[in-house]
Amino acid sequence: MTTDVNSEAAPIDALLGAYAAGTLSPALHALVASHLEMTGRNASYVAALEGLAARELDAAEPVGLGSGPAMLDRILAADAAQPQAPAGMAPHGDVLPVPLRRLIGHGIDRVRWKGVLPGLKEFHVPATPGEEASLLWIKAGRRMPHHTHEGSEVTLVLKGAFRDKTGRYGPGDIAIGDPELDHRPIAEEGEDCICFAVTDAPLRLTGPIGRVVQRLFGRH
Amino acid sequence: MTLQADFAALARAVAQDRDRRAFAALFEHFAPRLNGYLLRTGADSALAEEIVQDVMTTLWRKADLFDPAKSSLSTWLYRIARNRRIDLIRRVQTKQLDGEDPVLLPPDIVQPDAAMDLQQREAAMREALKVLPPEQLDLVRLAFFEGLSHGDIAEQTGLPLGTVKSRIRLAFTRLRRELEAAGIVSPP
Repeated sequence: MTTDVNSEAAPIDALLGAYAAGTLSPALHALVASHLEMTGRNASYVAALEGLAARELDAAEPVGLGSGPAMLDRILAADAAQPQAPAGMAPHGDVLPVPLRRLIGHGIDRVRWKGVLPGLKEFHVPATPGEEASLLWIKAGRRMPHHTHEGSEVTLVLKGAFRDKTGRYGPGDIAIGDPELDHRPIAEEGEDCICFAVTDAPLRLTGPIGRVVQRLFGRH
Repeated sequence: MTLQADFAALARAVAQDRDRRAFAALFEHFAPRLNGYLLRTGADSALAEEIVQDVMTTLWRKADLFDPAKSSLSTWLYRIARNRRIDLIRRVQTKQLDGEDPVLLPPDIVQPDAAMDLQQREAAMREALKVLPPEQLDLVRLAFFEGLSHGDIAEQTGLPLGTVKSRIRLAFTRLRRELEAAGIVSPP
């Protein structure tokens, strides 16, 4: 953060704006929706922006549908055959909020973790090209390897907490890492930390161990 | 009665009485507008039509989940359309938005000023937008209302990508401060 312009801006506000506008990738959209489910802190801002976007909908030039009357009939006719909601998506004490369970397709119990380093497990979530999304499980007290980002990294804490240069992040908090930021997040003592992280470019591990890990595991 | 109050009454008739005429009236109003909105923000006609059908089907089946005290019907439908579009990007072939999708439920919001109704809040929002400097407002319009990526905006405006990003960041934070000052958004 070098200029006054940037120091005044909170990056999360633009992320919330993009969420409200519907311009985020599916993984980031699920991340922000999960944040909103976990904490009410930003709900009123998002709702205000959604109200603004809805005014655009009200003002939109109506364009007739190719199959307008047929569509109306179809919707009314299908009334009898209401599909049941898929089971297992209702909140039931899962660490994963509903939007993340919908993204992944299952709960935390069916996540197939893969060890990356002692005290660090990862699970890759399908993401759009140019983007990586993963669940991270960091053992309590463990420090992550040094890394920087080629793009920005957005991390939502699901359980436990971590600290880095920029502060402490607990359940429901979003940390936004800039390309310049070389940081070593450390999970707090006492409880393992589970996070959902989305980067718009692969991580670059920068410490000596990081380089080895990078070589061993490469990109997925 | 305002337009939104009329819509809310029709939605209630759909939810409580399965009133087909009420639904047809809502369909007639919203389906072409949703279609126009989706086409304007870059959907092709097949995708737009699919989303419109999903959104209107959700209204027919789940109108009971709409809470007129919490948002306008336009906002509720907007949220459903937005999320459905993102679902379709990743081609999640759920037959429909399921009833447990949190987007159908009103967000859990403690309004800083509970005395203001929806209309007053919307008026305050329009005022807040006017406070943004024109160059920020333009970028917000492109990013937010036109749904362009930061890269597209940089290309279209000729501004460096870094400038686009920092101006948009600043604009959304300023907008938030204004909305906080107007009493319609809680501070973080």
